[in-house]
Amino acid sequence: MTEITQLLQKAQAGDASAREALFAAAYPVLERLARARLRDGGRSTLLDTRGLVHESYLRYVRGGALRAEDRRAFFAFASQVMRSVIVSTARERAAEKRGAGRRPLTLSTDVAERLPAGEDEILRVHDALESLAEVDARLAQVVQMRYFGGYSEQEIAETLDVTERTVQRLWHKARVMLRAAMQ
Amino acid sequence: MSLTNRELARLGELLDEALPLTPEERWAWLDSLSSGDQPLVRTLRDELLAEETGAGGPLDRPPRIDTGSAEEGAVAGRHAGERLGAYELLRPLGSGGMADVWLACRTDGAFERQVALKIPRVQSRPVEMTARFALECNILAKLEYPGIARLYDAGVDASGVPYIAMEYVRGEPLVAWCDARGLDKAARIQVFLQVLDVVAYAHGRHVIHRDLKPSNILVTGQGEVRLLDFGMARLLQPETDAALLTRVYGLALTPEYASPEMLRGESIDSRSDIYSLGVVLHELLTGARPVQPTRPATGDTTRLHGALRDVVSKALQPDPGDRYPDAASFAATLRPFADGRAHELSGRLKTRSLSVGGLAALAALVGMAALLTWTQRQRGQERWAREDALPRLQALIAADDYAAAFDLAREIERVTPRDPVLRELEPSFSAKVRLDTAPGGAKVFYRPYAGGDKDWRLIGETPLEEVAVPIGVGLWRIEKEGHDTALLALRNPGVQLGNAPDADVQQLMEGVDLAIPLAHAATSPDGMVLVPAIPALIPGGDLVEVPAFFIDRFEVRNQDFKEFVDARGYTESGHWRDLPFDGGDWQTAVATFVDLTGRPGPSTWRAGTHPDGTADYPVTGISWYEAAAYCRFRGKELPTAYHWYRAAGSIIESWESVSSAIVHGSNFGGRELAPVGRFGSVGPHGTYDMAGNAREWLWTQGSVGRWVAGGAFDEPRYVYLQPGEAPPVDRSAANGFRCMQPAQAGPANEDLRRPVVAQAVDYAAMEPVGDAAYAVLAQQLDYRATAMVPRVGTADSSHPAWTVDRITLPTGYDNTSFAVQLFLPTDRRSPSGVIFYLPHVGEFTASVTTERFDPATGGVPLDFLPKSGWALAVVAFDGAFERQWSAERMQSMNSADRFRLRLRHWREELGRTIDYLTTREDIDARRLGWFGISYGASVMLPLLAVEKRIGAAVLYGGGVGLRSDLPASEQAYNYVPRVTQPVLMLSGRWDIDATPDAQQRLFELLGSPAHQKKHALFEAGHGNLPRFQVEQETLEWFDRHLVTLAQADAAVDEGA
Repeated sequence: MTEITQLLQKAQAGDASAREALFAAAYPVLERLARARLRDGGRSTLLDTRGLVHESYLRYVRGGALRAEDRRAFFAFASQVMRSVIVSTARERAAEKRGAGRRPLTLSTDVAERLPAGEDEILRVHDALESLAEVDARLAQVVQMRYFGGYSEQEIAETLDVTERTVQRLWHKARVMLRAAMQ
Repeated sequence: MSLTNRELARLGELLDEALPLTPEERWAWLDSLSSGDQPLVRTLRDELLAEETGAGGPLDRPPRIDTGSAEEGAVAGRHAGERLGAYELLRPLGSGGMADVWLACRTDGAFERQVALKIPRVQSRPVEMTARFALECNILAKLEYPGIARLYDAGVDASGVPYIAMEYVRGEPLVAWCDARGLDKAARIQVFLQVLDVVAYAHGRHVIHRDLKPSNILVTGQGEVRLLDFGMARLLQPETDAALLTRVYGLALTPEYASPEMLRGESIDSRSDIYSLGVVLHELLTGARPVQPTRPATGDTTRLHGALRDVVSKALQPDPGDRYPDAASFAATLRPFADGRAHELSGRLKTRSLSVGGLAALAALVGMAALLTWTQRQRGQERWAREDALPRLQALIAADDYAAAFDLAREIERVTPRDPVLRELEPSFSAKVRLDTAPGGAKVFYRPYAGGDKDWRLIGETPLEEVAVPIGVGLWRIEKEGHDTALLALRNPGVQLGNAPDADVQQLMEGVDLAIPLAHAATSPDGMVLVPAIPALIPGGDLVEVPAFFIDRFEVRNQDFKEFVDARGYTESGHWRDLPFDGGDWQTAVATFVDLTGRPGPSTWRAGTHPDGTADYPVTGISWYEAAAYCRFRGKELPTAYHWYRAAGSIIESWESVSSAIVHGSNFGGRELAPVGRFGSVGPHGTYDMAGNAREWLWTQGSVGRWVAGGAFDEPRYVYLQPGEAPPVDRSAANGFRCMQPAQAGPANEDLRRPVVAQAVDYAAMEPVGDAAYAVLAQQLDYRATAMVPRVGTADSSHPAWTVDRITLPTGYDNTSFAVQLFLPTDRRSPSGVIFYLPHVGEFTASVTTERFDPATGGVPLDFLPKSGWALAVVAFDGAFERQWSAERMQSMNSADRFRLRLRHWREELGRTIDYLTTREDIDARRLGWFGISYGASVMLPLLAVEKRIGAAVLYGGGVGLRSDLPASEQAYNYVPRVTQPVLMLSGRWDIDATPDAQQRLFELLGSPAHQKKHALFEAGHGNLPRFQVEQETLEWFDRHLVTLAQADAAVDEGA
């Protein structure tokens, strides 16, 4: 059993300190993934890296080591972390652009020439998702996993333990609702 | 935000009703909504409309933030499956300075063919679909000419990203195409005249290309020229002004081909294209671009003589007025140089279908004979290159001396740039690497692993991009002010160098930050090297993420340990107290750890000190407890097995083993210990002597004792990566240790410290079932041929060495069908034998299809088979390639049942494919072979046991393993004795997947007659066997055992 698995079980049993520790243990890995996702626009998803290491490499060498339910809980949790990293990065960056940042001035000249603010969009999705979560938590979960976590429909289906068709349906609905909420 | 939560919730309910409806039904439904919902109706209508038209929204793009540098900010991150307007991106085709190009298809089915979709990279603001943009597109769309890649469609998506859909052309860049075919000057001019013809047509319609270069000029498999990107530069940069143009062109376009006036940012006309064509022609004829006073370039202008040189240089005049006024007059002047030679071109094309390709040295030698006749007319230096240097180069490659080959190649290149034989051979000794460090700006030096200090050479400064370096294991030294100098053993090609040949491995490592972290000199612990965080696999254990840590560069020396003894370390309770002693207190146990004179200290010492002259030798004769206590004394820890194997192996040791190089430079099989570091056996992270010298204690508890790793000076090399154990009180003279220290302070990672019992497989106990029981097993795989209707199509292939048939056959179960991608050698004088490819696990898990299967790529290229006259059959076995199971289906049965079902299905697919092949006249179905890699060389072996129509097999990375989910009676080893065909096993001595024991047992169990089985062992790991030998051995095996009827008759006659 890995440290993360242990912590995960405790956290699921309601142990708040275990959840904190879990967050701390997994954070560096997830942060790296989140940053890669921001940079590459989604080519690097959780399953492309750590997950692929497990899925492909482990299976190559020996049978899968992570139990399905552990993996599910972990991936759901991971998308939450990735969202928080992406959103906080977006906030920092937006603040920098407004001149409140600590970055050296040399950067400020080319800031204006960049692509339209991705960070604003991320923050708007984040806010709209908060509202959506109050209305329908499962829909919000699907969006969080797909948009922030970069998971495929199949991976989301596995994690939520529903069919892919259901994920497609939920996604379809969620994106219409979010777009309306973001108007 | 305009919607309240209540409204949003109601919107959700309404959508539940609306989304399942057809568009027509939705409008009626919208009208029927009650007045209470009226405030939402408008929103609903807008959103449903947007949904139907496929308009994208923020959620259809992944989140993106400019992450710092302008360069990164300009890269439009996109991924397969993403939509842009009416197109779905399929896979990236490449990216130029101005645009990324994707293979894409229409999502609305307006037309079926795939297109090349260009998406600009440099974009300062969203593009409006302006009248000007539309006009430009219109003009380009009207360029209808066989030699011009068509523009089909252009537009701007909802977020303002413009895109251009163009004809997707399969072909090779002009120069490469001519080089690959060894065309002479006349033939090259002949091809170039086609280019001029196309350019003349476009100029006649007032369209200037603006970016002509060899990579924009493709030649198709039929030898037809296709020009890409006509007018594209202008279209992609619509709000061009002179300054911007200069900037963009200066930055983004290939300046080597741009005319002087374009580089100066002046206005240009069609004569700018003429200049670019002059550069292309010069390169085509001499192998180098012309030397220009305005910019440095290397080139061999001496190879153009007299009239031809004048023709070319007229195109290259700095003043547009001095050049050819148009493409037609350029062509008219050039044509005489190609006249009367057209027949030669077509003749050459015919004889070129046997490309030397992958079978580097051997086949190239044959090809050289032909080339040599041609070179008789060349000057002496070139004769040297071809007659002396090239054969020497091939000998060096065959001797695995890639560094020497690399240097010789540089010399040859100086004499005959772009020599076609050299080009063919290049991948056999050289690969382009990418390497970054954190922080960047570090100097990188390289030397061959087996070399000495004199062989160091400066490669460049990080980030390194596409720098050619000899293949094989090398030592890399990375220096940066204020940081520890890093020394690493790396395999080229490989993951760390950004050029892993295996697509699965690449996919596996995607997103992993491969920049090599450099430790700050001020804060890094002395004498230790940094090992970055990457999952580590230990023998018999799991894959575990190991946080970054430091580990001692050398084994702990006698003089180091003496400080511990002198500091009364043996009586300091803090070092010992909580170590797990068997019964009794720690004092009692430690009291027994004495030297030859009864004083505290290693068993090899006297009177509390080490023998004279051994201060630099590793301390040995210490128990596990003493090793652990010493590390604590230094504020460090004894490494666990995870740490040790992580530090000893490359990132993916299984594919990219550096162990074979390391063990040869180590203190193994010797008589005595050596001072630490005397043997130059540097590991992948800069450690010395992990292989050999002292055996090293690890923290990890095993089944009987603590782990000891790396082998000792008096042991054979192969023990290097084999885990061993010893009782913790063992104080033998071969046991030493080194310490580690986490890079970041934190709680000790208990997970890494847990006991690991290596799961020993008892190979001797693998006793195959008897004939009666086997009959039951075999019956499960009973196969009966039934009538079936194949669907046969021809797939596109631009490769000169093969054509591709795509056959679809019914599986005979579940009303499904499966595809066979059949690669047929172009050069067929008689019916071809067929080699079946049995896939590795990556093809059951990664997103690959038989349709996109490319024999020339992948970790184990198979293009040598069709190039050598064998057809190659890639079968979509159940669960593999495009027939991978959904997660739901995977979960619908347990793994044992899944395997049983698949095995039966594979039997059908293999049987049916063979049935089909027997119906083809161009196939010799009596010559069928099996080439299995890893999974296909182990798990799939039952098929080989039952399908006797397969006449011979080659198993790459094969071994006999145990599946934990199957009973003994169903394990693969039961089938192996029933494999009676000739079998060649190609294995790596350092394979930690199919271990040497697993290989050996497989070999013993094979039922093939003793003289018809062979086990070839290489100094390699699981997936990195030396390519040349693999190809040579494989071809020899199939040629020997799959003989044609004529050959068999001849053999009989000879015997008689």
